[in-house]
Amino acid sequence: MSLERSSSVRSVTRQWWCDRDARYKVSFLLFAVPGVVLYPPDQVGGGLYYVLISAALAFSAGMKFSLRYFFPLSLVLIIFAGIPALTAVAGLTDRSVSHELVFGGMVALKTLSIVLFILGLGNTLTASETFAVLRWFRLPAGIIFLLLVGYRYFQLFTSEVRNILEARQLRLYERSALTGIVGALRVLLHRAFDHAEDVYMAMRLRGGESSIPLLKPLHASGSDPAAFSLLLVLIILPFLGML
Amino acid sequence: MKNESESAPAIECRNYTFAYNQESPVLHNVSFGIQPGEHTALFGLNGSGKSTLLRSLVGLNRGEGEILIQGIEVIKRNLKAVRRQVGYLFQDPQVQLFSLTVIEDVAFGPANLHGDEELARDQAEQALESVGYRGDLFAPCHTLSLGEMRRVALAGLLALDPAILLLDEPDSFLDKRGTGMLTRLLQDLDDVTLLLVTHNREFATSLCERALLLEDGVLSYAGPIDTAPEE
Repeated sequence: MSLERSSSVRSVTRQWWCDRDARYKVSFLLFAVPGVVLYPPDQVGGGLYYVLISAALAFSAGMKFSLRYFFPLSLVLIIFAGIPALTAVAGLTDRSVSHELVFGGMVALKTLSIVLFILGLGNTLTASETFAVLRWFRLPAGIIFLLLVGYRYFQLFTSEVRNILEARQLRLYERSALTGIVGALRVLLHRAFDHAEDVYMAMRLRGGESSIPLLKPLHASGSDPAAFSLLLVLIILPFLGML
Repeated sequence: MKNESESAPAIECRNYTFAYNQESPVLHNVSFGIQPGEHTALFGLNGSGKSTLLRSLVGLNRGEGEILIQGIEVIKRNLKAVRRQVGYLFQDPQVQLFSLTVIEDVAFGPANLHGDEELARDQAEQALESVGYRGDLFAPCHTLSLGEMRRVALAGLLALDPAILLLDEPDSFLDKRGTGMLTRLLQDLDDVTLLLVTHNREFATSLCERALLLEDGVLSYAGPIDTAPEE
């Protein structure tokens, strides 16, 4: 897969449209185009804009997939909409309850839509197309590199998480799965990283070429996983603030 | 910890069927019983369903039919009680070890069982000694060789003093001395029920009196190990 910017925007766009199936095309025309009409996103119509864009992608990804995330995402909606309203009820703000409900509702819709957008995007574009798009939008190469590495090793990572949880449960561990994962995070990062590096070395030994360097000779000390985790939080934090 | 009842089989499987997806069932109507204290070998070619069966016995897979461990049905609400009785050794030792150091990993089970950290540590040290582990107790688990990982994983089970041991190819990655040590160790566990997956007939014959043979998910033989057909 090439990370170079496409030479022709028109050809890329045409190819992208031709590669999409009929359901995707219909949903795009029914939802996404009207959504664009309701721009700008700072006004009330903005919430609807995000919903429509995301509905386009979620619908094209399939109702079964979308429904799987319906309840947890509805919870997000309730939390974001409900908390501002509760502050008004408790008298912690000068604004009315109805105003806070509307404000919270719009924030919730925006959050929900962005999450659906990402989920829908993941199911309607191949990995190569996704990364090519990110590169086309001039996303920093370092970020794309991290995403590439993350995508390559994500399956490995989730598999390791599952194995650790099973092994813990078989030895009478009774606390929540999340606590189990957090408790095993250091080992998980070590193991996943080591395993991933071994897989990548095997690829290189069989002729695979890449400019991504191997980090195997480096030895992680006790503080390295903590530093890595902190770095991840710092990368994600600005995105959370933008929601 | 060990169930004194002799009336129920230690492991009982009744018409158990399991499939990862509808197109490819893995186990078909498997039925067998293993008495308390019995040592049984489970033979079968790669992909015949041996590991799947073992995983089902500890509730990691749930299919149709019944599985009982010490008379307790292996269903969701009984998993805690079942897992107190059973030690399960994964085929891949790397999967089994999840703590930062060797001693921490082996002490994990006992610490969860009774909450006494010091006692758990003592039990862990004893278990490591019994499996012949001579390395650093504070070595990171993921840096061990596969043979050492196998020993540490086994120690983690023995530290819990289970009534039943399910061992998935425990002799893999072990050298000749390690296999000899493992044989002696398992031979000493007279009152532990053992179900052992292995391709090594000699190893199995030295430990087990009975054998089961799985062929394409079907139990085609259950009887004395001496007359068990080849895989």
